[in-house]
Amino acid sequence: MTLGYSFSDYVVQIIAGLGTGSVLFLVSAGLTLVFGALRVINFAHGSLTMIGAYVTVSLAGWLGFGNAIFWIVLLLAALVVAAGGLFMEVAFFRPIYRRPLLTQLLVTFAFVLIIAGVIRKVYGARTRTTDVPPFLQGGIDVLDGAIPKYQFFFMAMAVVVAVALWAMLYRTGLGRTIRAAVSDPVLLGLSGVNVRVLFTTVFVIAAFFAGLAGALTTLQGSVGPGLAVDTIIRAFVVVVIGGLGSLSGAFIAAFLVGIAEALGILWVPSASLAIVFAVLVLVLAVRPQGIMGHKA
Amino acid sequence: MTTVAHDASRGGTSLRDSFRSLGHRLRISPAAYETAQKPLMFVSFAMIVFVGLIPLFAGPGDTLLAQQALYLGLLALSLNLLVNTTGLISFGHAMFWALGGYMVASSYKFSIPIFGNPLFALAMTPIMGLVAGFVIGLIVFRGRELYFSLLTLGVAQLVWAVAHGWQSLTGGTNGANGVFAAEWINAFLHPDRLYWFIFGCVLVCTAMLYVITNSPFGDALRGIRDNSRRAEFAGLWVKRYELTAFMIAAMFGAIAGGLSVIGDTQINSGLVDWTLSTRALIVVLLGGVRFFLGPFAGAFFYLYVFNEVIQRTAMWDTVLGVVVLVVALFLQGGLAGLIQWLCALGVTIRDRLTGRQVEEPVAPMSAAAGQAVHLPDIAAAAAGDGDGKVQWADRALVLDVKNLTKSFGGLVAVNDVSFHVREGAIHAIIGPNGAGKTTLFNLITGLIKPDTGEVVLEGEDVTGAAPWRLVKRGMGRSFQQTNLFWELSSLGNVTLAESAVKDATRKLWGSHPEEITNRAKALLDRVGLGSFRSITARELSHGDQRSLEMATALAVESHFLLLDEPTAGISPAETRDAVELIRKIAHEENLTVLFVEHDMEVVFGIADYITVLHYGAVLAEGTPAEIRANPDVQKAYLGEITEEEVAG
Amino acid sequence: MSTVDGGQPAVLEVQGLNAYYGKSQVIFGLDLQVCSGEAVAVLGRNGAGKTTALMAIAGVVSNHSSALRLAGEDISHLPSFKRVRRGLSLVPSGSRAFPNLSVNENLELVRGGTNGGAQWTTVDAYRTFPKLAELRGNSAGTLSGGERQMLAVARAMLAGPKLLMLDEPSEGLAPMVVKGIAERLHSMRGEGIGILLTEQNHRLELEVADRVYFIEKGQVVWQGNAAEASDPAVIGRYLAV
Repeated sequence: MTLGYSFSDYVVQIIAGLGTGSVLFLVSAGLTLVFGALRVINFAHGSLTMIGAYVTVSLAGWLGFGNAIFWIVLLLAALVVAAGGLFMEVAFFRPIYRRPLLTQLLVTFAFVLIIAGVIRKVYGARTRTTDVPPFLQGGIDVLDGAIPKYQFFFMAMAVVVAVALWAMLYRTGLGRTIRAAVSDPVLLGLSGVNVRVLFTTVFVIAAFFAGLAGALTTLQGSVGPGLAVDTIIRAFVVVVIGGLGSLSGAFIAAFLVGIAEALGILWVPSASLAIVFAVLVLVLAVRPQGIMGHKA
Repeated sequence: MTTVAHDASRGGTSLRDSFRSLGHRLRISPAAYETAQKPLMFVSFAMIVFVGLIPLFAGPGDTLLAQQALYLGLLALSLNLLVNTTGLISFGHAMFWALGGYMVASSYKFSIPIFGNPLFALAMTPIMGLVAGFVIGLIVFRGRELYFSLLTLGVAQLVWAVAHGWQSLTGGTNGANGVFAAEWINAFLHPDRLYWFIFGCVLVCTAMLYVITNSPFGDALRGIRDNSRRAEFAGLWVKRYELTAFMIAAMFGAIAGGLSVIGDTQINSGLVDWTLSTRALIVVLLGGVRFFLGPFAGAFFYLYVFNEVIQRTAMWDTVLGVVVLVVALFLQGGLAGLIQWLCALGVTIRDRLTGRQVEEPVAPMSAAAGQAVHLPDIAAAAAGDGDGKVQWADRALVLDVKNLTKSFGGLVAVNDVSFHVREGAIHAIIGPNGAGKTTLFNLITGLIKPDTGEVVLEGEDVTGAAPWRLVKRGMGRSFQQTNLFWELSSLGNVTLAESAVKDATRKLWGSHPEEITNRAKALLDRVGLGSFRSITARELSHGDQRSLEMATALAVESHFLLLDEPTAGISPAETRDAVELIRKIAHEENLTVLFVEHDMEVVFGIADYITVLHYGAVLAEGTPAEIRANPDVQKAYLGEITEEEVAG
Repeated sequence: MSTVDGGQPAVLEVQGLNAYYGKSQVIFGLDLQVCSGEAVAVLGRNGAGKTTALMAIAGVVSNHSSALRLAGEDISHLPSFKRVRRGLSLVPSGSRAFPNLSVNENLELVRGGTNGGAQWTTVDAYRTFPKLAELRGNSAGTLSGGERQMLAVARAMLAGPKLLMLDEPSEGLAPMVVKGIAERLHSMRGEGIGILLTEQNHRLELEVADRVYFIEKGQVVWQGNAAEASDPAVIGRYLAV
């Protein structure tokens, strides 16, 4: 363990961790919502993020990444992924809601494979990069170091999305039905609500945010075909630590994991990954429902 | 044949009609699947021999692929012990392969004599697997079902992360490559001998797994898979059996990993990550989860086919994904299932050609079916009321329940309940809905722990003891909803229950002792299911399923039976027979019976003594005559009595 | 539309219903009818199949029947939410509500149909159950059993039903509360809504019902009007010990 770091180094690193945590939250929010309402662990969620990232790369290539275009590109990428999610849910996920766990796992994993192959065919195996839009270029000086502007942008986006999702869940009719579905889907059907359409809606929302997260990832650097598996594993860690189905849990856990990774890189670079998984195993073994989860 | 003639006579000439008639002609009956077992075995043996002979006619590339299919197949086979036999889905089985593999690889790094020998290291991998399986098992079994699977994934990722990060020990992403070749080429002069060495090891491991899967222990695992609650009540300590299965799977997974290092001469962290765990699951699925050799079929198919596919397209994982999707959604039998279907098809065609009549298995008719439905008469039941001559006070106490209380949140479900059951009595617990009867049962049988109070079974305090311990002490229980080992035959159900309680399921080889099977057959005869021995529990009529439950309760040699609503969900006709059965067996075996019932005909027909519960507390107790005459009981049932009145 | 004696149109017709709970068959060929403005009670001891029958009519458990009609329309192939929108409301047993939602949200959640059934709004609900108005912001998980049952009945009414089914509505409730519910059901009958309720005891039924069915082991074993059902001999035969 090398401890020759200054206070400034720690601050910079922690802020970077908050940035990574922000993106992690954006990915995990959808995953945890889908589990809460549909009771399905969607392993293909990371692949949806990857689609968002690659679509952004293409769109940025065609339309440029100027200040105004940037927002349009983000929105378009998220919409494309949402559309893909719609197709996936209606065609393939509906039949598996009542199937055993193994079937659900394999079907969602099949999509990880399918999407990976398509991406590799279309984009090749090399990594791709995009430029950073002008308003996000450069860094902000913090103490002795500098932090790229896009990290703060990520944090801002995470807060905005968290607030938006919270508002949707607690202030709209749709959010009300989603929360009802989490507790008693049968009673919801008896209340005259079309639960199947509701499930599709939740899935599409989750896909939208996955796509958005993927689009934002392009700012961090390169995008490669390993993004899907990398993303889903980390999202899975966040969702489980936070509590399956809990949005606030995902929020807290995402930043915890982000900071843990960041500090791990500082202290024991080769063990930073192991630390995260060790935390996961500890949480599952001691408190399986996660930080904010409910006992099953 | 008549259907085809009918179609032909209508002169249907369209393509669809022709297909339909062909489909009719080739319709494969369940009996055909039965007869297809023999050809299937023959095909399996032929394939094993074929695989063994591959180096003789295939080129080095194909031989290498076959070799890799062997250890991948072994990994999948060990995983299937968990997935298929025990019903545990592990998302991280690759971790044992990694541990075994790194163990063999490290033997090169440290080049100590004997310990440096890769063969010695290979011989040590099973021990590594067992130990790792035990330690990791203690962690992952903290969770049930989904959480168990997530824990296996988490721990596997941890193992991978360590392999990835701890460069000095494992070599990280570079791993250990090619160092092996020089050291021990002296032992294996020809690459082919390597193949046969690996084939031999895999064959031995497969044989061992086959024996274990078909042993009484394997039966116990299947029982746990089908219905772990029923398994608990057959006297199986479920957690211990699951942990043992996990350790065995870990052992063979580690061996597979060790073999892979010897065969591929390399290992690195990129090879043992999450994709390997999912590949093992995919291989199991592709080959057919329900077939013993399915994993090997899947492994060979996977490696050969995708070797071809990779060479032809960049989208090989899409192809694999589509295959997995199709098989997961539509072809649950996998490759082995396909082969079985082909065998059955062959049998059907052969029979049609030779005109042999295939005997359809007769759908079991319940013994009571076909009788006119009649409603039992209260007067007749009253006539058979307790003879009152039995001196119950002289009989020994079988069950003594003292001041049992249980609350859930703010709700008091069982409120200071005390009563006792005498030997040989048929004792009923009745009460209106919500009276707390099932909770009381669960407290007595160890499914939940009381807040206060004691449960004393034949003089011994068993409050809060686990169900399997109570079963070993002679207590059996049936459930409100039929609770059987659904995929096992009737005989299998009873045999397993008996074997479990006598600890004969600890045997990892062979079959159940003959005396156990004989007794099981006798029990089936007594409950009237003698001719339904080989019918799967799922296929029995509901009334027969209840009888089978009775037989399994008897099989565990209980002398004290607890029956939770034994006549729930049975038609009126079958109820009469169920009641007769209980009465007959209870008297013949001198059993003590405690049962919960709503059907008053049943209660007054056979109970010697009745306890009435209301709002979780005891309202009244006595012989059937006393209870019927008790005005408080009438009021409770008719809704005129309140909670305060009962407690007061 | 078919009618029963009395000339009122039948709002619910069930013929030959067979229903299953898991693997067991619980209902063996059940027939019953409810007319609009009529209150019908189904009585039987526990285990007789009352809950399963209602769940089957609502489309929640697997079943098949030779006929299942709501106001003359065949609903046997419709999923449960569509039956609700066509005017069939079920208040399940156990005073179920959404515990993580507030009382007001529980009410606002209901999607009824515009099918000619009584049109209720949340304002009506609060007027009828003032206690709920007091608790409107509270989470439903904190309500007492009686309050949750009031909420459940209010929710069922918000769906604008032609037929209201209640499964053991008086279970676990204090007599005063049961009285309140009985009054509500009276006035609903006046509005032309058909009512089908099940009970284990006869407290509620005799105050509300016009006709009574007794069921035992999944079949109807007796039917008659409420007066006949009050006969102690009949009650003793089918309900008491």
